[in-house]
Amino acid sequence: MSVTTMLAPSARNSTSSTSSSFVPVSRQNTIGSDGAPRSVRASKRYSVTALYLSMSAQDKDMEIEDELARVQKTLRDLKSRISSQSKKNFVLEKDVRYLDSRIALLIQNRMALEEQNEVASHFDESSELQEGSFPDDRKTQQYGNLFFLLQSEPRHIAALCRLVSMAEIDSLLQTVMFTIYGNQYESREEHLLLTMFQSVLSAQFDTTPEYSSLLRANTPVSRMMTTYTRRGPGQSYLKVVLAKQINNLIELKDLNLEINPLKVYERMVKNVEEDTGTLPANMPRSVSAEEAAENPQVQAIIEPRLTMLMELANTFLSTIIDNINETPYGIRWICKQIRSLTRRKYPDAKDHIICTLIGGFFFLRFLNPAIVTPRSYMLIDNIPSEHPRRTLTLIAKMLQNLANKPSYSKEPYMAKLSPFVTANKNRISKFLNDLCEVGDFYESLEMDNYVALSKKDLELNITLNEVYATHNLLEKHAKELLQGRDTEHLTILLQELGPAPPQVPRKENRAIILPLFSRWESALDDLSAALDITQEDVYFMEAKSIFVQLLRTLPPISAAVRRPLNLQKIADVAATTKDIGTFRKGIRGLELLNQLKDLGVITETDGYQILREEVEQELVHLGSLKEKVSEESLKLDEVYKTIRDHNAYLVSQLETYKSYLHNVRSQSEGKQRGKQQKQHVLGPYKFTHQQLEKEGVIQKSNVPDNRRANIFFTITSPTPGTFVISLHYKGRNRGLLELDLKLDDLLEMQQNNHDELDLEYVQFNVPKVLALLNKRFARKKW
Amino acid sequence: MQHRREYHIVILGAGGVGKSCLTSQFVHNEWIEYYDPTIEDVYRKVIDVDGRSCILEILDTAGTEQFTAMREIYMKAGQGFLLVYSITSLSTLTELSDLRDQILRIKEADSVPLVIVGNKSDLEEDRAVRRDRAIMLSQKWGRVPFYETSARKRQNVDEVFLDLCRQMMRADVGGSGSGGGAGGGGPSEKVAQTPRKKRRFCVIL
Repeated sequence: MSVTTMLAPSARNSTSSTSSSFVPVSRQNTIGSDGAPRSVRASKRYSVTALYLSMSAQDKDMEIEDELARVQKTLRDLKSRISSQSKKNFVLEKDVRYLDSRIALLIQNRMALEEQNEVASHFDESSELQEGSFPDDRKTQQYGNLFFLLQSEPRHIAALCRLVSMAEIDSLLQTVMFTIYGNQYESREEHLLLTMFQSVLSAQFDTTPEYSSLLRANTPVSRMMTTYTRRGPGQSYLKVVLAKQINNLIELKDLNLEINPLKVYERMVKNVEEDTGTLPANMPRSVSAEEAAENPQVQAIIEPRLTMLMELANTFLSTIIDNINETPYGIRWICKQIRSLTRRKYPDAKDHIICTLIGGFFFLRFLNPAIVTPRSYMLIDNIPSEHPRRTLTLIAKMLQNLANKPSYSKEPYMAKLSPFVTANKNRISKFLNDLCEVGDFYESLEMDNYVALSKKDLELNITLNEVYATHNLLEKHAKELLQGRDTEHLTILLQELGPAPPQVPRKENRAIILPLFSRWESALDDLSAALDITQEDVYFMEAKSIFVQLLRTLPPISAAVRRPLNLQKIADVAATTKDIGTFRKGIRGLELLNQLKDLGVITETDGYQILREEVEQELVHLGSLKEKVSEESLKLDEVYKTIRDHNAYLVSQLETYKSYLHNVRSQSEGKQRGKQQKQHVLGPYKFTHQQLEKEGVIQKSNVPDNRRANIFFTITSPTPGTFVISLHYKGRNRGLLELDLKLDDLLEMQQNNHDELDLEYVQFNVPKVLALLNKRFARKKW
Repeated sequence: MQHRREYHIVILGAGGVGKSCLTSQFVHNEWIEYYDPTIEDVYRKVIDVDGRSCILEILDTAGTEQFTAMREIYMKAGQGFLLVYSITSLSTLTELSDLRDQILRIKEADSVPLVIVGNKSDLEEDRAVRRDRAIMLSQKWGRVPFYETSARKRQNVDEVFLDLCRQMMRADVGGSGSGGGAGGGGPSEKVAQTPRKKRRFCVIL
């Protein structure tokens, strides 16, 4: 068995997630070398790990089915589902955003029919994309090579990110973050993505003349950072540190913690007026901010609120600080880059300036938006009511002040909260600096890249339009892009590909599996040479891997697995089993023991002590690995659920727009046809009380039980989008009550989480009414 | 002195264009040297417009794009809008179109009291947006007033607020309390017949 064949794990994301024993050397464990030349020893250590990792990564000969393997498989599935689901959500969000911006024009009937069709087409894709492939193999190869290059040399995409406009960035980011580096839990892709960040950030530092204006504007870079925080790990972190506290807070709907004296004064006046009917002479309706602030009653109201706010903000802060280890590696690493870039580019920048910049990313762009609008971050189910919303805003403002430490308060009343800043100044500086204390990943990335190269079947799940859009952007910015250094390969590939094809209509878009390869780098035939290790190392690692696998496969009651381990015996037992895989391993194990003995690496006299100890260690490690994997699965389960919930929310928003659009269009259609064709009235349709109650349309009824049988409703649609609901009592000619409804009003109510539609005798449930109307009155569509 | 009208102004625009500096100059006559990103700040100022005293409640908003989810609430509450960009960055101007679309959608109107503000006019050497770009936009939107301002030098600061106030006052008189809807009064392309109002009950017993 040659090294190369052993190094050919089949699944694309097998690097860290499938390997039986490999704990990514990256992550927090790595000791950063920060650009310093790495030591030969370190390099060798990583190389050996790479080798071991790839050996145990996947072995088709033998399927290990112990518990560890099972939990690992669960975890792997979960991760790939999260990755693909968060991509779907990103696309949906984009659609919702697009529709959001178009619907205004649509309402005002200003949209040409063509564009209406374009809008309508955004609903087509809700069904899954069909699979497909490129028309010819040559294109497949060319694009395969192009995307391999883009993936493994992040500098091209980094350069592109800086060149594209805000209008182009979304589609580029979608392809970059959810496709090219779409496996959010795979270390190689994650690290390549971060490398790309680094280069974009660094360029931004280069082009910004002074640090005060760094990272302020909304640029492709800031959009990139936001998109990154919305991947799985960022979302689960927000959930950990914020969800519980925010939910506790919004429960207290009536807790008013307003501290703006003007607002407090206004409410006070209103209350007095409501209670007594008049206002005392010394209480004018409106006063200046200064007068309000000096009012003793106002001060008395504000005083305890200040204390409470500071306590609340403190709890938030403490949770954030205590959970520093939950903070996703990538986010901490970006903080670290901001720190080191600032130090490098602006040597005179004081420490507090550096903290401000880190805070500008971590608080301003990541945590605070989630605190202020928790629903958009899937942390709560409903939009908070007025008081909690204000409280959350105040807390975010306090955290922002703490991170930014402005010398004075823009709003004078905020100065009263300065004790919070004073008390926590040191804490926050330490925290922001601690955030940056993570290792780099360059070495493990190099290792991952070796392994990736040796994979025969590296591939990308991508859509035709993603391929074309990326090609298009590359072509459009080719002039600037190809000026960079080391762009010969990109130049050649773009030349061969020729002009970028236009986007295909949504209906013709296909999901394709693009095999990645590089014509310039072939799979390494002799990995041991490339990795700078000896034949001894190779044998030793292979032996270790085989014995670990054998121990995991042999029945636990077998005498061979008893401790202390007897490697010879294990191999003997395996070599006599009927299972062909185990048998082969056994034979190979015996061979390896002999070879290693001959090379003088191990000796029989001490029972192959060195190898035995390593194998035992590995098993202990695997034991704890199982727990870790299960733990991680639990956490990610939570994340997956959240993401799915968000998906449902987005889909319902799309549905809302869909009916909206349908409504508006049929209205304008009606107008166009105008006189020639008489509008035909739909209905009336009749519904009984019982029926509507059963379907949940009636959520509350004040009709006495014994009368319900006599109540029925009719619904008529005189024109598309308008409805008349009337409530009837059996035996009477005229309805008891009539209600004119417009579909848009209902939709608006639904959007505002306003569920009740009051019909005096009964209360309808808005979403259920919508569903009923959509079902019963669906007119011929677009 | 009594019967002052109260108007709600919302300041919108991309990050770092100088929304807070503009506001601070107008309200407190102060120039903010230090960068302090806004999440949401509220100010009040009483001013005299053409002999009529009115109270302005000014909402200074976050330009940081991550806070866009808050905008909808602001737009609902606002009666007049300052859309601010920086003359040193073209993309900040192009961002304004989306903002206006969103305002019109939420207000369900063809036009609302609004002023386009090109800030940082003192940074002539870094200018990236020519005046005529903004003038074109103003034309396209139906001759929306446009000013270049310098919050640092306090140039045209009062003027933009005053202009907005006048627009809001006019809307107040003309629009019979429906909020917005004054302005140019474009051709009849709008769906005038459907002032989509709330449901009405008619209990016939």
